[in-house]
This record gives sequence, structure tokens and C-alpha cells, in this order.
Amino acid sequence: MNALVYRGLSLFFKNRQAVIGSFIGAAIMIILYVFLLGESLVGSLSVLAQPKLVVDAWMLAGVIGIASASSTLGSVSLMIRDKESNVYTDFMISPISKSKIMLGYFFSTFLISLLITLVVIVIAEIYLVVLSKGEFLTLPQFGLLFVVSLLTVFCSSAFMFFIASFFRRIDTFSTVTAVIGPLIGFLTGCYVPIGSLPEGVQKVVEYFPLTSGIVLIRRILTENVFSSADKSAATMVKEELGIVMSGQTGIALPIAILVISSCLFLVVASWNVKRVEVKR
Amino acid sequence: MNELVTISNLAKQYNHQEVLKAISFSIHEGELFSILGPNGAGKSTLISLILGLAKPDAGEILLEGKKLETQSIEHKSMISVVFQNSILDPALTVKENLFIRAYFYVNNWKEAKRLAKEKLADVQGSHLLNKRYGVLSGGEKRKVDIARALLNTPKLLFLDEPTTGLDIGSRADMWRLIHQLKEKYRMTIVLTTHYMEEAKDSDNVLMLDAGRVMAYDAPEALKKSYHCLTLEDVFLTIMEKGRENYECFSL
Repeated sequence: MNALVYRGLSLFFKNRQAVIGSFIGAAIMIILYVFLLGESLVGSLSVLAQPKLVVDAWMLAGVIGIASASSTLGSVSLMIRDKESNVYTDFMISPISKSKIMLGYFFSTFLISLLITLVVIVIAEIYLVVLSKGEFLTLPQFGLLFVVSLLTVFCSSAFMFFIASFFRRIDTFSTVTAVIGPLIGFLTGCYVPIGSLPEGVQKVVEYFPLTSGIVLIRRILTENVFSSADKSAATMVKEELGIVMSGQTGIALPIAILVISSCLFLVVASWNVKRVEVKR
Repeated sequence: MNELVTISNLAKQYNHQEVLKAISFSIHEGELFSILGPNGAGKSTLISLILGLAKPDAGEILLEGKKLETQSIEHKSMISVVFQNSILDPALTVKENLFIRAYFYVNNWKEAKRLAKEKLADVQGSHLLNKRYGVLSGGEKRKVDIARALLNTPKLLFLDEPTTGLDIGSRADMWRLIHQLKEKYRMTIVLTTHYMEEAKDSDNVLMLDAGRVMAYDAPEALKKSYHCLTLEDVFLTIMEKGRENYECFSL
């Protein structure tokens, strides 16, 4: 399995286009807010003392979430590309079990996404402190952010692996990822505040597993910026922006959702991949 | 010679279409065995079944007298394949490609490096170690592909159209190398090819058409029984007969 993880990482980081492509989703979101949507959102939050800082922290939390999902797309496609050629057959006739082959693909996707997400977290923190004049995260906050990001990346990787397990042709998968990438942005309430979505869509967003991770990331990044705000106004804005969902302020439930859904995605994906008989 | 592979009454269907019909033959240790047939004859399916990539609907495959288990590490360690289209990564170096595959067999990076270098030297390709696989010539790529297939020192090596796309000189070099390696490692080689002259050195030839065995014998014996001068003529005669029989049967 180690060899497959090493292969996945080597192939990804030697492909400049794939590396740059992993940041594109996050970059699009920053551009969207800095040049288009940011100003109007800041205007609508005038009840707060530091509306720009709130919007920046909220937007950057979304950027981290989007990066954790979009960075998996490039590496997860390796499995489909290998299936299309005889590379997968070569692994199948080597003395490694199917489960280890699957885990090799999964963990290379997970590690790539984790590395990229950590880079985005560092960039987001610098942005918040230098450009938005916010405060540095404390060490416990940073620790929690790391754990939550790790779980979010795990869930994203499992979700993408689950999606990829249904495809045998890279062309079809590429077409689908072109839709899935932006869809995840909407389904996690990153592109548009959750409160401004229709009620039915809000329910979908709420039950989409990745949303739990992104809600927690938002909560950590915005924790310091709400400290001086009026409590009732802050509560309303938090619901509107998806920093708190359905009044839940604890971290146990979102973490449980992330872990359980990741396991479910992985089990179904592994079963799906295993049941396909290889035809030469 | 002992039987390395014994196949009896093997049958396989894909989408309700019979791809292999009651195939029986055996491959002996140390022989060069050729499987010939037109496209769609069932060659690839037959090889998939022997490799354990698919399960037969009927019949049995024995490897060294033991029933083939698709997930058996013991069986996987005995077999290797040189694929028609390369399976190595063009973006990685020859060293990286071989180290990664060698690790599958030894589970130790140091040992994997030693093994990869040893097998690359066997195919006279040590000078290619640090080159990117994607920039190698067709002949050089084939050498590295063979080095990859030798990593587990297989008892049974499948060569799937090994010289397709190579020039005459490279093809001759490749065959010299294959014969040297066969002697060195006492391997059994199963060859599928469209070049009939490459099968003439085989100990036995199996000719397939529409999932059936049309002929199975040594090349000289086949030429004699079909009154032909070349293996190509034997092949064409058999295919022609097969088609006539099929037409008669249809009528």
C-alpha cells in the first residue's frame, strides 16, 4: 500500500496542472467575494461592529472547505485512468489484495488533499491577520482547526472516492467533476450564505455531510470576530451565514456526522470497486 | 516436462455471449507456448482467466496441480505479464516506476531498490535508470516493461503482443533478450502475437477461433498435418476451414 501512496503523491506533484487545478476552486471563491459579492454582503451585516472581518473570515472558511473538496478531484481520477489502461490489471496480478489497492488510492488522495488544505489554511490565516486586520488564532483554536480540517478532508476524499467508484471512463468522470465542483460550493453554503437559500435547499445543505465540517471551520475562524458584537445580532448572523446550524453549538454532532458518513462512503465505494470484474 | 498449467473444459460468457467454449490444453514447464487467433477469438479472455482476473463459468484451471485461486498471493507471485501497451507511468523515472512495483513483492524500500536495479541489469537497461520513462524509445520502453515483469522472477510469463510497434532490429533484439531470460530463469513463456513467424520457435501452439480450440500441437506437427510450409498458411487454412464449417452449420 505504501508504494501505491508514494506513486499517487509522486504523480500528482509532478503534474503542475493538477497542483494548480487543486487551488482553482478556492481561488474562484476568493475572486468572487473580493471583486463581486463581498461588498454587498458587508453592507447587509451593518448591525455588526466589524462586518468586513466577519465576511472575510466566513469566506475564508468556505475557501478552506472548497479546497479540501476540489483538491481530491485530480488525485481520485488516477484510479479511473488506471482502470482504463492496464495499470489496474497490473496491480491486480501483483501480490497485493484488492483492499490494499483501494486504500492506496484513497490514502494518496487524502494526503494530497490534506497538504493542499493545510497550505490554504496558512494562506487564509495570513489573509485574515494582514489584510483583514484580524487576530491570530490561539493555539487551541489552531489545534481544533487542524483536527476539523483533517476530518473534513477525510470526508471529502471518501465522498469523491465514492463518486469515482461508479466510473470506468475518465472522460465521463471529468464531465461529472465539472458539475460536482461548483455544486459542492453551493451544497455547503460557501458560494451563497445558507440563510439566503430557499428552505428546501437549506435542508439539503444541512444534511450534506461536508457541510458539518465547513460549519465547524467557520465557527473556529469567526470565533474571535464576534467577541465584541451584540449577542442577539451575532446569533442571527451566525444562523444566516451557516456558522451555526439549527441552533447546534456543540462540536460532537458535526464530528460524528463527518466520521460516520466518511465510513459509509468508503464502505460503499470499496464494495462498488471490488464487485467489478476486470476485463482485459 | 511437468505440467505447469492444466486447463480443462474452460468456458466463459460475457453478456450472454459465449466467449470461450470448453477449452482444454496444458502448458508444460519451461516451454514457449503460443496462443494465436484473430481478434475476438477469446485470447484475452483466456489469459484473464489464467491470470485470475476473472472467474470461469465452467471448467478448471490448475497451476502446478493446485486449483487457481484468484486472490492467492502464492499464485500471483508465480505469474507476470508484459502488456501490449505499457503500464508504467510516463511522468516517473524508470527508477521510480520499478521501485514502486518491486515494493509490492518485497515490502522493503532498500530491497526493492536492489531488486529493481538487478532486473534492469538483466535486460541490459542499467543506463536507463534515471531517465523519465515517457522519453524512452519504443525498444527501451519494452526492455523496462520486461524488467518490471521479471521483478517476481515468475515461473510463468505472459507476453501480450510483445513486439507490436517495434522496428525489425528492435524486434530481433527483443527476441534474443527473451530467449536469454527464459534460459536464465527457466521460465515458461506464453505468447500471444499476430506475427506468425514469432510463434514458429514455440514448443506448442494453440489456435483459437470464436472461443474454440481449432488446433493445438507443435508448429512442425501442425505444418505436416495441414500440408503447409509456414505457420501462417496453417493459420489461414484453419481459419478458412472454421468459417466453412460454420457456414455449413448455419445452412
